Amino acid sequence: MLTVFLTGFYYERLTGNDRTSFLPGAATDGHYQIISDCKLCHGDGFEDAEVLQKSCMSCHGKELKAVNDSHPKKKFTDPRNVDRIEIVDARYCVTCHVEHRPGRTGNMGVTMPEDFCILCHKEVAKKRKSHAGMEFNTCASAGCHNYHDNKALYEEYLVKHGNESAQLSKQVVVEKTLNQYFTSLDEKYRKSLTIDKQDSKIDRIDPKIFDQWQKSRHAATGVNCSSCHTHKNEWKNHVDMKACSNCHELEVLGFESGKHGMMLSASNITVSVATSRLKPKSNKNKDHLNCTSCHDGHNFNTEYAAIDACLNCHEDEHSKNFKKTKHYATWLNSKNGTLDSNAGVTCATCHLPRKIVSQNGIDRTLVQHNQNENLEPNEKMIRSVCMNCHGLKFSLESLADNELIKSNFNGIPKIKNKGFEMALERELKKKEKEAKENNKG
Amino acid sequence: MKVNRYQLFTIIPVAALLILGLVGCQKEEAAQPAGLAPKVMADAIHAVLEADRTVYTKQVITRLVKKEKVIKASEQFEDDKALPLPAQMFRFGSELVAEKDSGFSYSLQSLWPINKQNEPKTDAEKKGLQYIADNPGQNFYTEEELGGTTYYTAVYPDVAVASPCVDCHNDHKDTPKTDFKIGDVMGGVVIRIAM
Repeated sequence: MLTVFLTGFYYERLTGNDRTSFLPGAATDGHYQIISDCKLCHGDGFEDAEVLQKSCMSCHGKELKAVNDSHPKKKFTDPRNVDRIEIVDARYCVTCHVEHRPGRTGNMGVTMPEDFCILCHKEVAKKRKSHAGMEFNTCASAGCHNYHDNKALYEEYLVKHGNESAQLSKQVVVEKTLNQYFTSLDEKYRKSLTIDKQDSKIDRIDPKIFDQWQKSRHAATGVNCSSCHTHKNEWKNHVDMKACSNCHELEVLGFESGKHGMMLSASNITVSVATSRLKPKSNKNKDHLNCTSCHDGHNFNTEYAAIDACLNCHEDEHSKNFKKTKHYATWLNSKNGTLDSNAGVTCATCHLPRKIVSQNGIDRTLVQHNQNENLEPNEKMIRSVCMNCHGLKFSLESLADNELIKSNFNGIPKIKNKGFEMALERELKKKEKEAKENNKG
Repeated sequence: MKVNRYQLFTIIPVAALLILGLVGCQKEEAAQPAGLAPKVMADAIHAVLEADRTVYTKQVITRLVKKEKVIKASEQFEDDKALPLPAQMFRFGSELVAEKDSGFSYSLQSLWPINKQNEPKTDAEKKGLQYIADNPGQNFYTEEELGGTTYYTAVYPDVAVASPCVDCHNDHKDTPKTDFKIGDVMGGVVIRIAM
C-alpha cells in the first residue's frame, strides 16, 4: 500500500509542474518564490555552470549593469587575474551565492564567510594606511563598501556630499506624472467620463462601484468599464492583471519582478498567507496578491496603497512602528496642506520609490513596484530615496543602525561611519598641498 | 587479392613509415598556425588603440575641456554630467572586447598607477613596463603562461600626448608621481593574444 502511494506520489512529482519535493535544501528568501520549476534556474540539466550563470543574469544582469557592478565577470576573465579565480571564482554568481544551503546562508543569500574581501584585498592597509588594523569582516558590514553596488559609497561621492546636513533644505520626492503621460500620449485620455457614460454590461451593480469609479483617475482619463472588463471582445466580471498591464505595463513588470509578484510570474501561483514566508497573522487583504490587493478594485486609491495596504500584511517591528515616526507626520502634513504634496513619506516612498523613466519617447515618473530593486543591501536606497530629503552621512549612518531601522527611523543614528572622516581628511590634505604649491609658484 | 607472408613483411613497415610521416607533418603544421603572426596582429591592434586614444584626447578632451571650456572631463562622469577620461574610454573598450571572447585582451597599466589594480602584476608585465620606461620609443614582446594558457604578450609605451594627461595624473590624490611632462612614458598598453 505504502509502495503504491509513494510510487504515485513521486510519479506525480516527476511529471507535474511542482518539483519542490526534490529540493536538496530550502531555498533562500530571495528565491523561494520561484523554486517550483527547477528549469527556471537549471535549464534542462544540472551540470553546466554556464546555464546556471545565464539564469542568474537573466534576472539580475540588468540591475548589476545599472549600478556599475564593482566586480563584473569581465574583470575575472582577464588572463592577468587568473590567480584570483583560483582563490574566488567570481565569474560565477554561485561561488558566493550557493542556493539550497540554509545552514550557511547569510544576508542577501551570501554563503561565503564574512571576511571574503580579504582573500584578494589583504594588502589594502599597505596602500591605505587609514585601513590598518581594521577587522577583516568590516569591509562590507560597516556601511563602507559593497561587493557589487558602490554608487553611493565611492570616495569622491563621500567628499562631495560629506558636509551635507541631516535635513536638506528641500525635502520632496519627484512628482507623479502618470496622468500627464497618458494625456500627452493620446487624445482619448483627455476626456473625463461621468456615470451616465459608463458602459458596463451588467444589469445590477452596487451603485457604490459607480461612485468609486467616477471619483477615480480612470474616469478622469476616459477609462470606461469595458476598457478593463473586456477580454477578446467578451465582457469579463473578473479582471486579469493582463488588463492592467495594457496601460500600466512597467508597473506590472515591476510587480512581477518583486517579492509581491515573482511567484505569480514564475509559477502562476500567487503569494498568499499560505505561501508567503512572512506568515502574517491578520491578513485583511485578499488571500492572494495582485494589483487589486493594494489598489482596491474600483477606486484605485493610491493613498491606501501607500501605507495601509502594506500594514495589512507586514507586522514586523519596523512596519508596526511606522505611524509613530516623523516620516508619518510628514505624510499627514502633506495631506492637510501644511507641507508640499510630495513631501509626505509613506511605506511606498522608500520601498516603491518614484523614478523617472522614458516610455514611448516620453519621460514620466514610474512608481517602481519591484521593491527588490533597492531593498538589499540597504545602501541601494540612499540615492533613490534617502537623499531626496537627507544628507549622505545621516542617510548612511541611519541605514547602518539596526536599532534605528527597527524603530522605523524614529530618532537619530548612533552609528558613526568612519569613511567620511577618511575621505574628508584626504581631501583636506590634497587642498593644503595644492595651496602650498600655489604659494610657492 | 591474396597477400602472402613476404608481401606482408613489406607492406607493414611501409605503412608504418607513411603513418609516422603523416603524423610528423601534422605536428609540423600545428607548430606554425595559419594566419597573422601574433606580433603583426598585436602591432595592428595597438595601432588602432593608439590612434583612437590620441583622437579622443586631442579632438574631444583637449578641444572641449581645455580650449573651448564647454564641458568638464571627470572620473565620475555620470554624476558630474561630464566626459569620461581618456583612460576610462580605453578601459570601457577593453571591457567590451573582453565580453566578446575575441581571443585577445588589452589593458592600460603603469608603474605609477592611480588605480592600484593597474600596476603590473605578472612577470611579463613587470619586465615589459620597466623596459618601455627605460627605452623610450621601443616596444616589448614576450610569451607567458597564465592559468595553463600560453599568451603572446606585447607591451607598448603610453605617452602623454596632451596637457590634460599630465595635469590630471600629477594632480590626482592617488598618484604616486607628480612630475609627468608631455612626451613622458606614463604607462603601457599590454596586449595579450592566446596562442
